[in-house]
Amino acid sequence: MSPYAPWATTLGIWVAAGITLAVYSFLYKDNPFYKLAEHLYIGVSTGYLIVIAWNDAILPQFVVKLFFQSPPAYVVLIPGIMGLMMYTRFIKGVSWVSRISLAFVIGWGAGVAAPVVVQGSLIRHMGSTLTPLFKMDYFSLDGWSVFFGILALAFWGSLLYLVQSDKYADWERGRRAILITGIVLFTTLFFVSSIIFSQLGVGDVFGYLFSGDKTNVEILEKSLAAFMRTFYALVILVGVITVLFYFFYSIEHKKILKGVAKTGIIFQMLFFGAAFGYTVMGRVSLAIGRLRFLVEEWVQPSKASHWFIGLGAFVIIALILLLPERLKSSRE
Amino acid sequence: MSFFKRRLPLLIVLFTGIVMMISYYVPHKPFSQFWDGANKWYMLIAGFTMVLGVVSLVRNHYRKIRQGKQGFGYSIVMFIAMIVTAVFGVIPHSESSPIWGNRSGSVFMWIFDYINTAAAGTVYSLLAFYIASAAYRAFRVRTLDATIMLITALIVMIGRVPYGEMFSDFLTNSIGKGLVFLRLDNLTSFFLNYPVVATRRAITLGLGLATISTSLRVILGIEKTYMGGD
Amino acid sequence: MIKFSDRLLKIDRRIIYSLLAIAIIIPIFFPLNLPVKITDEVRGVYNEIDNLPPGSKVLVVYDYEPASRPEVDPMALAVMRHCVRKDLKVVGISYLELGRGNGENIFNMIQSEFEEKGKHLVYGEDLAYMGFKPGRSAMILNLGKDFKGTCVTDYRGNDAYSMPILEDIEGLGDFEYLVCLHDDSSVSIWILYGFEIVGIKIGACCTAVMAPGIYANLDAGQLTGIVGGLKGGSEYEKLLNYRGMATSGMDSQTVIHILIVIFILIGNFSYLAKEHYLKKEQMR
Repeated sequence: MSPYAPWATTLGIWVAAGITLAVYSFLYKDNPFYKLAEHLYIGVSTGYLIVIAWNDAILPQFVVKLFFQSPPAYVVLIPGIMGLMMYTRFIKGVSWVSRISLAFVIGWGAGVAAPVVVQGSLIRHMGSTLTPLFKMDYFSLDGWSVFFGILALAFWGSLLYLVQSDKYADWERGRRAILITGIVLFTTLFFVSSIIFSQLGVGDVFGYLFSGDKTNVEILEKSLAAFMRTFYALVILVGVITVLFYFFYSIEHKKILKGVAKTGIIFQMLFFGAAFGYTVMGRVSLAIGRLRFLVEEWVQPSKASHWFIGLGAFVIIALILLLPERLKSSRE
Repeated sequence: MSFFKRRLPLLIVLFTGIVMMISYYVPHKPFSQFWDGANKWYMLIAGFTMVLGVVSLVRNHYRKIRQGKQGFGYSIVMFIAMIVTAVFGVIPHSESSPIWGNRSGSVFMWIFDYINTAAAGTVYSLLAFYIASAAYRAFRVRTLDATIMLITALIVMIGRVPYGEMFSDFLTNSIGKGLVFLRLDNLTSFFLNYPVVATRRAITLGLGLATISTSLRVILGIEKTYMGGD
Repeated sequence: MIKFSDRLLKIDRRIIYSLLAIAIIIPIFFPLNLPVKITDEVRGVYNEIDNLPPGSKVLVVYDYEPASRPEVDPMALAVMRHCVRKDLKVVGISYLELGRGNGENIFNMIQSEFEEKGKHLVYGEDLAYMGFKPGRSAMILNLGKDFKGTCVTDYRGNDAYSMPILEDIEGLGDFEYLVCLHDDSSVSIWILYGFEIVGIKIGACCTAVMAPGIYANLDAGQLTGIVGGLKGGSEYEKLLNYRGMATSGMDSQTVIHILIVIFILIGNFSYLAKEHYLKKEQMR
């Protein structure tokens, strides 16, 4: 499998294992081995970048087109010179020259980003927040749903009024609980009756639930799914509005608006919690990858002679790294 | 001279920005030609600027070595690593000497496979250990918000691994179907598909608006911090 | 009691580190072979590839750094194996400098793996790797209009115009599907400049750190699915009926997650206990 000669593979595994252990030694405390590995990493990455820039960008896109192609594409000279002009920023006195190519880059970025973002971020995301709410194929109003709707509106209205006029704070717990229960109950009933019971009679639903009557299963399941879709769409709508409002500082967050912002915080906490869980997952996966490498590719297949040479190399590196400081401190 | 130093860059930004914006909505000549040409130019400039960061890194480490600051030996190691990688990678590959170049089997790819991967992977995986220790020390139920975040994190962490799914199967199969709402994997999916979407979408919308306003400010020359001093 | 919870709160961090390392290593020696359950997000990517007719062209984007190889390599291998099994033609490209080497490794592994199984894949005809191309969003815009002219050559320096696999590829939109293997936010650039401009369907295979951030794009229909982290990789491996690196890694992952949950719970219980006793003492 390995594209390298066997000895090169073994050497590579030992070098990689050494670097891995050197970096992990930082968990104990900062030390010369870690610093060595760190600088090696920086150097190698920088070298890598140089190679990629030359082989994959400058050589095929510029040098070949200009010198090894007939007829030569002289037009690449302009962006090529503009690219080189960027480097004048390191030379005192002419650093302003880099601004000219920077201006093109920045103007390009601003000019392209604005329309693309309008289409891809704003319109797309606003659309997908709102469209599910208008696609309620099972939604229809009947007597009961109008009744529950009015009741729900009344409860919502009284909550708004109470909070806005600062009366809500004086209410004791019991009355608050009644108000909140009313809001939740009648809002749910409104959606249940307008989505599920508008398709089926109450008797059908209870028949399914309690006596195993399967005649209307299909309609019931579909309307239940429609109900959940509406619920989820509302969750997203409420979340988007409250979180956006939380970041909107032009109005003071007080009275009812404080509650809105607070809901926004709760949504954000759910996001951060999930993100934390996933971050743990990701970082742990990397640690698993490294430790598996140490166990499966390094410790298990290595022979005694490898260990002997490896130990020798470690002693030499340790002497080089640690001796100068020891000598210095003993001289002092 | 001040025309070249200050006015010209602003004019270039104004011109490029506005013409690019028009070209997006009017994909006809001459705008379509400008659009294609500018995109190609940008790609070439980007190729040249890839190593812009390298210059300042090299300058810093060179200064360290010249002044003989403490730990300048490490800077020498950095230089050697950089030069070796660059030389082996830039010299073109040939069938007779496959160690050169940047194909698999070359020294360059060996360095990538064994040094780059090992060092980068391990550095990032250090965070696993730090997160575990920080979670133990600092992740506390001090306020309601923190509690919500902590509970979500616990549910997601357990709900996304096999044990969580097995535990949920046990809940619904052995205790009762009615507990389906307590299934940790379903809860995790719910969090990710709805509240997380809502928050992330709000952030996307906010960022989108910010991008547009910044773009306009840059194009119109109100925002010119990118030009630096003098 | 206060002393006990105090001591518990002040455990040396190195003890926590060692517990973590032990919990990772033990399942390597004693695999638990835990079952994996498949989520809809992963099915979204799998079904899209599975339903493509043989000979369709898929673009696989290698946008992950070598640091994320333990997480993304299993997915990359799974997606490539899936494509080759379905006789799809795969073109690879990299938008991130450091992603270039990863793509090269995966392409070589897949080629030699199927060679051993007796399926000969011709480079340039069945699969091709374009390597890294500079310019980020400008590169994607250019690919959208003129794929071959933007690539110029593949990673070996072969002329893109002479490759049979790219023969009828005019722009990005001629690919049936795009799989983005990423560990940074590059997928959102591919969405904005690829999906929104030429309408190519995109599936995201990303590290766990990036996954929660792109569920909004999935909901908006800009992505067909998300394969997130080692868990997503293990689900994809299960869909393809083999136990790869991701599935075996999930054993350690499970143990560690439980360990971290226990850490958090112990930390909080001792914190709450301490608060409780301190309050009691104040009352006295």
